[in-house]
Amino acid sequence: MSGVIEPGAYIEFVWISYALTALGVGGLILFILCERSAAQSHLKREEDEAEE
Amino acid sequence: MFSYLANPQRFEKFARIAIPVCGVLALCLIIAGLWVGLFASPVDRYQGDTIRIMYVHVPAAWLGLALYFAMGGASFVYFIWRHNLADVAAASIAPIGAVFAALCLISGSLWGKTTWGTWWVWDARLTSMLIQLLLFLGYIALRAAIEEERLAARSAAILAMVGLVNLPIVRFSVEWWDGILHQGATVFRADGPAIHGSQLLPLALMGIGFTFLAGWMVLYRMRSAILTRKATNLQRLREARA
Repeated sequence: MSGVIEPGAYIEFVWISYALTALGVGGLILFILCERSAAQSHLKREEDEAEE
Repeated sequence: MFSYLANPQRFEKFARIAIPVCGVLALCLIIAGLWVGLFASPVDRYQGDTIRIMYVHVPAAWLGLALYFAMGGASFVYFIWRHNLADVAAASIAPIGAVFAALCLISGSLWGKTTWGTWWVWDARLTSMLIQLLLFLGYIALRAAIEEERLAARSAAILAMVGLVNLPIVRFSVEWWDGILHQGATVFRADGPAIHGSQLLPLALMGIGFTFLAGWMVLYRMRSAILTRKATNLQRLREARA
């Protein structure tokens, strides 16, 4: 039947889409964690300055 | 709900519970969704294994739209009632929404190449989704371009509210325009989902899992933004005293 894609065909497209999604989501999580860490150290620095 | 959470202490209390809950639920649902989607669900009769792209493409598309709706809603609350937390929410959502909208376009392009034979067509669904991504990027760029904080927040809020017009265009583009390559709605239909349960289960697991993940991300960024604002205020006080 025309228009039918065989099982296993284009499988690399499936893996690439999952890999790119993992990369995007993983990168975003890393960015969010770094942002949190930077915000905490910025606040700590300012609080220390305020105490002095 | 928003007035209740507008108090930073109450928000902090809420976030402390909601963040781990969202994180654990997201992790469990996404792992289950990945396992069912990649290994347990059958291949599609016509699309073969490429149907599995749907389990990341549709949740990314859903979040690209839902996060814009949330950003537009938060911008509206900020614009009308001047709740600072609403502005924090809108600013926190923008980059997350941009990433999911981009992932939707990329995975859609990969899926399109296998089923339509082309990476991209300028049909109404794809073009309006590209505009959605540009609206997120425009919001981020506008905020970054204006130095005065209140002006930046208000200008970005106006852009976010205007951009809400694009949401129904994305959603209904497949019905409003003829000759569209993108398929019509298959899940949220008046007569019920048009896909088999074996495909609906991983799609639902991934969709709900991604939604909790986005909730985790937004709340986490909001807490960081509140800390940054506190630090900036302290810095300004110190500089004013010096």
